[in-house]
Amino acid sequence: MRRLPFLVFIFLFQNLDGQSISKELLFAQHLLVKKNYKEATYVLGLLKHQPAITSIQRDSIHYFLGNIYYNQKNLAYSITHFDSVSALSVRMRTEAIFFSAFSHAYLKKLNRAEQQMIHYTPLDSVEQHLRLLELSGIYLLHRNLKKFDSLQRLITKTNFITSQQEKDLHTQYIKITEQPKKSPWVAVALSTLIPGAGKFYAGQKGQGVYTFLISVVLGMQAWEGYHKDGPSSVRFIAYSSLFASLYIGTIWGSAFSVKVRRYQLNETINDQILFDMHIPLRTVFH
Amino acid sequence: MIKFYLICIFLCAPFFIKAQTKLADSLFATGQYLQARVEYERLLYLGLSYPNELLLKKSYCLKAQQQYEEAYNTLQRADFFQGSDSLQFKLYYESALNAYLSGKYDLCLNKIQEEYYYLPQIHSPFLELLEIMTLNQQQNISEAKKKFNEFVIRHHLSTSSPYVAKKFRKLKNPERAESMSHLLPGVGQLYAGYPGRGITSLAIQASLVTFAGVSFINGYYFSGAFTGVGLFYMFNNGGARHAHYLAEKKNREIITKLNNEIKKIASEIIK
Repeated sequence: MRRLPFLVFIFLFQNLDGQSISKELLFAQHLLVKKNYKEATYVLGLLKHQPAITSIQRDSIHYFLGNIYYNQKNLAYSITHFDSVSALSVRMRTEAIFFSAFSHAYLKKLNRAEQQMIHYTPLDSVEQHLRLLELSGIYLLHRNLKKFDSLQRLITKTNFITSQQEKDLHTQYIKITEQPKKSPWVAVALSTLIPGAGKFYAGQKGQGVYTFLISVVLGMQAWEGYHKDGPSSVRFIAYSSLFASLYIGTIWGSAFSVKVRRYQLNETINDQILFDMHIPLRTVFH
Repeated sequence: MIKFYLICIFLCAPFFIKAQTKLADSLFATGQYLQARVEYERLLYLGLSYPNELLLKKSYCLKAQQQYEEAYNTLQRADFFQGSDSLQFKLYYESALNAYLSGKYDLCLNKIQEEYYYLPQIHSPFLELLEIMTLNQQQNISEAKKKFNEFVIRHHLSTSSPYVAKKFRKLKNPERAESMSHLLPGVGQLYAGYPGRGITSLAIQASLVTFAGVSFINGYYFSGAFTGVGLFYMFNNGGARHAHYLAEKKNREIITKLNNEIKKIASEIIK
């Protein structure tokens, strides 16, 4: 008895005709616009299993679900639905391909993103500009500077939708080429000579100074223990062990710092590239 | 013939609207909140019923699913100046309640003030108690106490004030706890109501000072300065910050207990 309303609800959804499905799709779109994502997903989930559904209606369902998951930052699901939109629905397919490629790029599946953009044939000049911008972004994320350079000859920077982001991508390209190439071995050598100097060299200046001061403090206490009580005293052994641990740890940490710093810089650049790839997509399609 | 059809359509329309609303209501009544939300939203989309009432019902579904922020946002889609006074009051009350439950106390007080301003003819003890609880959450105990005393007089209640109890009279001052622990290690924790932690903090810092003193006396100046004094400095700062945290924690506990007392009064009023 308790499930009766639910059964009535399911019955209403059973075997809807084409017109009713279209109305339900409009309702799902309304839910999407109102950001009622859970409700929209539920309605679309019920529609998906309707026997009378046409291919274009199925495309609409995948397109809406792709958008819902994209807005909820669930990119893996978003890609699945965007990729399911068929070529029959031209406008929806276009948007789905661009957003799918961008989502792939965001998830660091750059080869797949590149393939999607290479195989896409733009329908007008705006899409052509957009495609070139997305490809440029993907090549920069890939750090394939040769391909990025070759694309720059095709980019005119005249379209108002993409021109600013095209300039921004070029700025990121300069940042990548001018990025200092610091060696972990140099950091190791510096920290061996002066504790903390390797971290300073890696760009973590505060940590470098701090490590140096702690090393000096422990070193002085170890020296004091040695000077007053001799090399077999507990005081000397304790402080010299602490000093040695810190010294060795700092050498290893300096090499690691170079890698961490490089990773952080690259991630900052990548975030900016993805941002520049995303802005025109929203301008054109939303 | 056309006239006949039109009459039929106009007679059928209210029946269908009623049936659809009934379906949504029964889905809600049986705890199928997501489906009920869909149906309420469908009615809103079709424009078949009063939007304020539907939004209110949808917010009930979200509240039942503990999605308080979404419930509040749903209510904000309503036109607060449309509908009967009782419906308008429900919109204000539910907005305030959902804001309170989602921890947005400023928004809660705003909605309560709006209700007082736009619907002065409606006095609800629950809204007043909600205001008192919100003031408690904002640690504005003196204002909450004043409002509570006014509430008791207005509704001729014989209930005793929870603000009289010693434990609810005053909240701990986290800044004071921090300063106290800086000057006298462990005292801030003691003030915050955690004597065990206070004693531990005092013991650690006292032993570090002793170590520093003994080291200096025996000529171990580096060990005394760096290990003794250095570690004492670090523990002193850490202990003071911990005292600050403990005072805040204690305040949260006090407010929860205080609001539980207010909730008891609310349940007595319901009875």
